[in-house]
Amino acid sequence: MVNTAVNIGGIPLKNPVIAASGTFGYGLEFSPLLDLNELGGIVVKGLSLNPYPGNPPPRIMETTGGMLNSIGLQNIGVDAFIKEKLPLLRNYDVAIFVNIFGHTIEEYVRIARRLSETEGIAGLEVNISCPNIKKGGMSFGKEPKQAGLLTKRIRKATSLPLMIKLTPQASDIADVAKRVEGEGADSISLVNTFLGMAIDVDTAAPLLSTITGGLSGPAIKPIALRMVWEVAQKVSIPVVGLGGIASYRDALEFMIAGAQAVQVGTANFINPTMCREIIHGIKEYLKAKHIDDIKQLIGSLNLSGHETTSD
Amino acid sequence: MGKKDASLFMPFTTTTLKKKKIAESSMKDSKTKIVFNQEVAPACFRMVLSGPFDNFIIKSGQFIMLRLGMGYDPLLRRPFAAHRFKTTEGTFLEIFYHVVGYGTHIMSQMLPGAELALLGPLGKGFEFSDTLSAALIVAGGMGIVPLRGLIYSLVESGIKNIQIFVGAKSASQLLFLTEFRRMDIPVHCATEDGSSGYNGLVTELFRRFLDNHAFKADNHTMCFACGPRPMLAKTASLSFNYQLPCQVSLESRMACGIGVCLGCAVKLKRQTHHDQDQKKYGRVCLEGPVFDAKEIEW
Repeated sequence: MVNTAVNIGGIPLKNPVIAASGTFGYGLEFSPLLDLNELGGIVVKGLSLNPYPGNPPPRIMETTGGMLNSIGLQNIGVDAFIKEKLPLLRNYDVAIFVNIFGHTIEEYVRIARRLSETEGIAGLEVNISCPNIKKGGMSFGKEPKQAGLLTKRIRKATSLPLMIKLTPQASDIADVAKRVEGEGADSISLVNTFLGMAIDVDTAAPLLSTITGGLSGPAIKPIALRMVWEVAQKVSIPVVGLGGIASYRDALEFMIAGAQAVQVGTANFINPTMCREIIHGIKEYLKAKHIDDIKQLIGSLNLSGHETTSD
Repeated sequence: MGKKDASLFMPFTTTTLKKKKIAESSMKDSKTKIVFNQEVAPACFRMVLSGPFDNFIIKSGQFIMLRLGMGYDPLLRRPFAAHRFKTTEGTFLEIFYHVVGYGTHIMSQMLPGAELALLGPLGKGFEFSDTLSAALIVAGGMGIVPLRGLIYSLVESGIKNIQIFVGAKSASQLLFLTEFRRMDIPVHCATEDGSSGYNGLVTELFRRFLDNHAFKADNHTMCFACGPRPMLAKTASLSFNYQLPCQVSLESRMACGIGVCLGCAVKLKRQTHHDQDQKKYGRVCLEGPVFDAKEIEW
C-alpha cells in the first residue's frame, strides 16, 4: 500500500488531487460520472455574498491547447449554497473547499464569516485572482500589499483554514505569496488563468464579449509549473499547484516542483473522470518506483548537473 | 463499400421513441467506434457510431459531447444532436455535421474503426403532449438535424398534421427531403439562391404561410425551430404574433456539456427577484438546448 495522504494547511486529504474551482460546479454535477469519495478534495465554484449573473455571452473560446473564459463568476450566492448544496455535499467523504470572492474587502469578510457558521466545509479558497470581474478579484492579487491586507482581514474573520489563490498576472507572484503567508494564510494555490484574447479575423471582432478572458488548459502548464517551483522555494506553507494539468504525469511534475497537492481544472471538461485517472496514475507510479509515501516525492526536483539562471 | 456500410446508409428507421413516456437514460461517459463517416451533401457529413447503445435512450433535441481524439488539440469535446437507430446489425447513433472549422475538419478526416469518447445523453429535448394537434417545424441549414428526430417522434405519437419549413443556402444543402416526402409530410423549401423552392429566407416563407390563413392554428398547435440565431429570433417573433407556442433549439460554444463551466450561457428574459430587476442567464447544455422561445432575450 502506498500512502497518498497529504495535509494542506490543517486539512487532511486522502490523496493530493483536488478538483479546481469553476470546473467542477458544486461537485454534485459530477456524481453520476465519478464517485466523489475518491477525490482528495473539491473546490466549489466561486461564491459571492449575493447571487451573481455573470458576463454576457460569448463567454468561452477554444484556442490551441487551451481555452479562454470570461464567465464572470456567475454563482448562486453563499446562502443558496449553504441551503441547497452543502447538505448534499456532507454525504461525501471528501474535503470541501469553498472558493470565495468579493468586490470589496468587506464582502470577502462577510462571506468568510457566513461560511464559518456552517458545518461541512474543510477550508476556504480565497479568490484574489479572477481576471473577469471589473472590481475586486484579481485587483487584490496583483499587489502584494493589497493581497496581504485582504488576507489579514479574512484571517481575523474566520478560523477556517485559508488557501489563497494567486494570479499569474502579478508582477512578482512569489512576493504576493510571501505576503499572504505573513498575514496568516494556511496554504497557497497557484495559478489562476492568464489574461488572453482571441479575434475573429473575418469580422475583426473579439471572440469574447468582454474582449479579454482567462486562458487555461494544457497551453499554460509550463508557465504554471515554473511559477509553482519558484513560489514553493520561497514559502513554508503548503503550495497547491494548478494550471493545465491533464494527466498523472502533469500532476507529478507539479509535486516534484514542490506542490503538496494539485488541482485539476479544464481537464475535467475534456474528460469528466480525469481526477480519478490521475489519482490512479499517481498510485501506479509510486508502486512502480517503490515509493511508499507520496511526501517523498514533493519537492524532489533533481537539479544535479543543472544550473539555475535566476541568481 | 461493404454490405455493412450499405445497410448503415439506409434511411433512418426509428425504434427509439414510443408514445408512452420512456425514462430518459442518465448520462454516461463511454467509448464509441466510428462505423461510417462520409460526406452526404456539400461539406455536410454523416457519422455513424457503434457502442453499447441498447439502453441509450436519447430524446429528440438532446445531444452528446464527442471527444475528437485523445490529445489536447482540439481540446474540448464538441456537442452534436444525435439519433439512435436499430438495424439487424445492432443499435447505432448517428450525427450530422457541417465542416465549418478546425474541429469538424479533423472529424471529416476520421476513418471507420477510430474510437471516440462519448458523453451523453445531455440536455433537455423537445417536449409535446398527446393533445398536440399540429406541429410547425421551421429549420435553417443544419437546424433540420435535431428536428428530424422530433418529426419521427411526432409521427410515432400519431400527430397527423405536420408542416415542415426548411431553408438552406442552396438546393444541394437541403437535407432529408426524400425521407420527409416518403412519410407524406408537406415540406416547404426555401433557398437563398433560388435553386429550389421559394427564393429567399425560410422565415419569410413561414410568414407567408401563416399570413395566408390556409392553415388554421388552434390552441394545440406548436412551432418547433432550430437554425441560426437571427432565423430563430424571426421565427420566435412570428410565433408570438400568431400566439403560437414555440420551442427553439439553441447552439452555443460549450466546454463541459453538463452545466458546470457556464460557458454556454444564453441571455434569458429579465426577471424580478426580491424587487430587483436581475439579469439572468440559462445554460444551453442543461436548461436547454431546447427552450420555450418566450424565455429567451432575443
